[in-house]
Formats: sequence, structure tokens, C-alpha cells
Amino acid sequence: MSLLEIKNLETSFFTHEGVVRAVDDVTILIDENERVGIVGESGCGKSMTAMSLMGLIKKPGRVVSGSITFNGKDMLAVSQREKSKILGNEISMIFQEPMTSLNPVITVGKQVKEAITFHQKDISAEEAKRRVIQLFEEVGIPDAAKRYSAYPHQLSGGLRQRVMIAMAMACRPKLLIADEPTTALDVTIEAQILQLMKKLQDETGMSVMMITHNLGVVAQFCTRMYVMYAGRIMESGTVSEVFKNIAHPYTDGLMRSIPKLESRERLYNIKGLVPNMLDLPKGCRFCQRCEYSKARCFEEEPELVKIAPGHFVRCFLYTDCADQKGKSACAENGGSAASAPNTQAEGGTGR
Amino acid sequence: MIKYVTKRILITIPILIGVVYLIFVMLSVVPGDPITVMMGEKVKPDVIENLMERMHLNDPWYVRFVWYIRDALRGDFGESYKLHRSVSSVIANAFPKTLMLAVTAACFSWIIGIPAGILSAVKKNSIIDRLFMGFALCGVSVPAFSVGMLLQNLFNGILPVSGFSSPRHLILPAVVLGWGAAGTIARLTRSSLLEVLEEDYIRTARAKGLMPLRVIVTHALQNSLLPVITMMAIQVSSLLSGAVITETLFSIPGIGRLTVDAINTRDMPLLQGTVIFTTAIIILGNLVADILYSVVDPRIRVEGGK
Repeated sequence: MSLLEIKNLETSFFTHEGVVRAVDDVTILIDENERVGIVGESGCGKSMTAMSLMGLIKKPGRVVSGSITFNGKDMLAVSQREKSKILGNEISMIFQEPMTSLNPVITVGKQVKEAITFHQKDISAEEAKRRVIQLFEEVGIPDAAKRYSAYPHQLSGGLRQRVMIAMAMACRPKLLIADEPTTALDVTIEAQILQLMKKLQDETGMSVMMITHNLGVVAQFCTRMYVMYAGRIMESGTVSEVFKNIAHPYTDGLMRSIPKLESRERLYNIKGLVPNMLDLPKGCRFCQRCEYSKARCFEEEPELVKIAPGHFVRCFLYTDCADQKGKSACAENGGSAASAPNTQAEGGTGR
Repeated sequence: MIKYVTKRILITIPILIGVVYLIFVMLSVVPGDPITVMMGEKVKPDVIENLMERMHLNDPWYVRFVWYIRDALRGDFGESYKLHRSVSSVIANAFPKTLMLAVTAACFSWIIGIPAGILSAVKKNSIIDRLFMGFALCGVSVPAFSVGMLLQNLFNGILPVSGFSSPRHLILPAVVLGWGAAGTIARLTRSSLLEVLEEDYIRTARAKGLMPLRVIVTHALQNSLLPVITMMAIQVSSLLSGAVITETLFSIPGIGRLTVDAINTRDMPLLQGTVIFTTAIIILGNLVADILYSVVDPRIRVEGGK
């Protein structure tokens, strides 16, 4: 059994204008000691998936259906008390905004210490403080002992994110959720932070759920990935397989949107915008922006199908290879797509 | 921190001098003859002349201003025309009453206002919230004189409704003053706490696994009380400078009533004295607010200390 099993999760926001299904039938599995990337544009439901797991969805949103099982425990059914023992202890989370994610009126040391003392009641105050300073050293904060009593505003964005990582690592979690941990940081700092997370992951053997819009981060850091679009999983598989045989036009678009140093051509961009979540297209959610869309794409929504071992995609190009035109993917993946047309996905458990 | 506080204290000196100057000029141009106020209509011309000379009233206003500042620095604010006592002693006599009333009213408003605000924010849109906010709205919007008279009628015979001779006399006026203040504080606490609860660091605290109550107490409260502290200090200083209507209504001989009496009797030195005293109190209140603010919020401490 996986460490984390999110199955057919649906999280909706009941607004005055209508119901927004931010997360729609999402299935994500994460094994122990695994680094999984969730990729997608802003507003595609990546963070909401993580928030649903953490129980941090605010009104008017709520988890409507599906299940979240962590380490054998049903996270949607556990009591508040039980959940508070898991969060910050077995599952911890790093957020996108290091500048605002720390309490401005409490020293960073105390904020990290709180994570330790809250979950480990028998630890003495001095011991906890020593642990915090040790954690600060581990995450590469210079002058760790001095920084213990610094306030967040006295630290740079990179240092604050390191504090957040120290806080998340405080209880040696089994699962670390990193929600765009490097988006707000410089590229050089980004590389350092990713390196640090990789090092910590190697040392502790925890699993990491890396939420990002940056395929570069996925390529560097993750072993398996899920591509999300408008609340749905569009493609999933091991990073090496997906990067080698990009299947979904959306993933392809994301990949082509990465600037390349050697190229002198104008940078590719996916035309159009993410659809209004209140007014989703009837068929495939990506149909309006897709270069390969056909009449059928506007009418029906494709299922997630297996096109290669451990590689799943939600696109008619693969469910029905015969009537696709132009896209070379069918030829490339022809064997697998043809051999497994309309193969019902096993819940997208690509691995 | 010490640097910041010293700087803030030093800034108050020019403000205070400026205010004294403005008050002095304003009251100097008000029509009316002080001698007539003091002695009545039928005074011999040589007496008037003599008095004018003695009180430097023949000098131009700027010369008198310099005299006034010099005397004021020694604690001498002149003599009341009507009461024939030094202004400072009159104020010193009235202030303790205002102080007692203000402290009682402020404590009442904090004890009621802050918990009501917190509870309303935590139970947002519940019946409790609506009830508290309804009371708060009444407190803010119903004028003191109508609340005062209503309470005087309701509690006549149960509590003393006028005068100032025992602690029991404080109850009704303190409630009148405190209700309005509590309303403002409750509303501010509620909105500020609701705003803070939306912050990213609250999400961080929740992600640590902390229980909701602990998140509010250790992470939200201190941040949400920042604007409330400012409001509290401003309220206390305005209470200390005399609740004119409440003091008059309940016949409490405090600063507020003293000021009204001074205006009614055209007792210029006394009026000048009370207004300057009031201003000083308000400046002091703001100073205390700023210092408290820097104690609660480390960001201000550092910027000020630079």
C-alpha cells in the first residue's frame, strides 16, 4: 500500500456564482521514499489538492467526495485531535510565499520550536532549542544560533524559505508537501533550495509531493509526475518516461514554453487562458487551447488511459488513434497506444 | 528600542509648543474684556488700568506669549478670573476625578470589548456575533447623553445617578462612557482578527497541526491587537481629557466640566490651561500607543532604532 493515496478526490467551492470544482476526480498515489511532482498552470487545482489533504480548505470550499488515506488512516474521517497529531508531525508542508508564511511578531526560532514542542511533549525547552539550532544548521542557515532569535523581517526570502523547511523537517515527517517552494525566489536560490530538499530527502527517506508549474524543477527533482489542468489529471507517469514520450498536447505545450538558450526562435506559448472554472467546456477541458482538437474533443471528455507501462494520458489522440491527424505522437507511441486503445486507467496509478 | 522611545519623546516637544502657540493666539483674538469678566461691569477706570498693567494686558500678544511660556515652564498657568485660584491647582483638583472615571470606563470597555470582538470573529455570522455587533453598533452610535439619561431613569434609586462621593457613583457614568468605547473596540478587534485569520502565517500554524484555539491565541491575537492598541490609547487619552457631556450629566467635577464652565464664564486663563492640559494628555496617549506598538510589533522596533 502506498504512503499516500488520494482517490477520486473532488473539492468544490460553493460560490454565489456557482459551484467551482477546483479538484475533480483526482487520484494521486505516493509511495514511501518517493519524489512526486504535480505540475500545472496557476489555478489548475494543484495547491487545492494539497490543501484538501491538509484539511486547510476554507469555506465556501469543501471536499465533496473521494478519499485520502495516509499511512492507513482516512484523513477525511479522522478527528480534529487525531489530525493535529499527524499534521506538522507526519505530514508537513512548505508554502509558496516565504515572505508572508511566517508570523511577523514571533522569532523564527520560536516558530520552529513550536512545531517540535507541540508534537513532542516530553522534550525540554533547552533540548528543543538545541534541536532548532541544529535544524537551522542542517538547512544551511548561517549563524544558526544567532538567527534563532531573529524576526522574519530580518531575513531574506531564501533564508525564510529555509526556516520554513526547517519547520517542516522539525519532526522528521514521512511526507513533505512543497507547494511551489521556489517560485518566489531567485534562480540561484531556487537551485540551492532544491538541492537542500534533495539532500534532506536522501538522508531521511521521506516522500515529497512537489507542487510546481516549472517542468525544470520536476526534471531535476522528481521521479514521478502528474500533470494537472483545470482540476483534472491530464497525464501521469515516471519523469523519465513522460519527458521521453510527451503524450498530452498540454504537457507538450508546457514543455515547449520553456525558454532555451540555444534557440533564436520566438518562445512558444499555449494560446488562450485556463478556462473559467464556472463555465468549463463540455468535452475535454483543454479542447479550446489544443492544437489537435477535433469535433469529438468538444463533445466528450476522454478517459485517462495507459499508453505505456506507467504512463497514463487523458486524450482522444490515444484512446482512438485511428481518427487522429497530424500528431506524430500516435506514430511514436503507436505501439503502446494501439495495443492499449481505450484501456481504462487504473485510476491513474501510473508507476 | 531606547533610541526609538527617546526620539518619539523629543518629537513631542515642538508639537506641544506649537499647540500652546495656536491656543494662545486663538484665545487672544476672541472678543471680550477679561477685566469685565473678572470684576463685573461697574469698575473704576483706574482699577482697570492698574489691573491691565499688572496682568500685562497692555502688551502685544506675542510679548504676552513669551511671558506665558516662561511662566508655564515653571508650572504657572495664570490665575482663574472667576475662581481666583491658580489654574494649575484647579486642574490638579479636577483631574483625579476624571482619571478615576476614565480608568473605570476604559477597563470596562476592554473587559467587554476585546473578548466580545474575539468571540464575534471566531463565531463569525453566528447569533453571538450578531448580538455582540448589534450591541456594539448601539454603543458607537447612540449618543452619550441619551444613554446617560436612560440609565439615570432606569437605575434611579438603585445606583447613585449624580455627584461624586463614592465608588458607586462611578458605575453609571463609567458604563455610559465605556459602552461606546467597548463598541468601537469590539468592532475593531473583530475585523482585525478576521483579517489576520486570512494571513498566510495562520495557514502555516494550522499546517503545524495546532488546534484552532491555540492558533488564535498564539498566532492571531498579538497581530490582530496592533490596531486595537492604538485605538485603546487614543480612547484613554480622550477619556482623560474629560468626558464633557457625561461629566456634566452626572455632575462630576472633572476636567470636562471645568472646560465647559471656563467657556461659559469666559475664564480665559482657565480655558487655556484646560485645553493645553488636554492636548498634553492626548499627545502623551499617542506616545504611549507608539511605544506599546513597538513593544508588540518587532518590525517597528527595528525601523525606529535604525
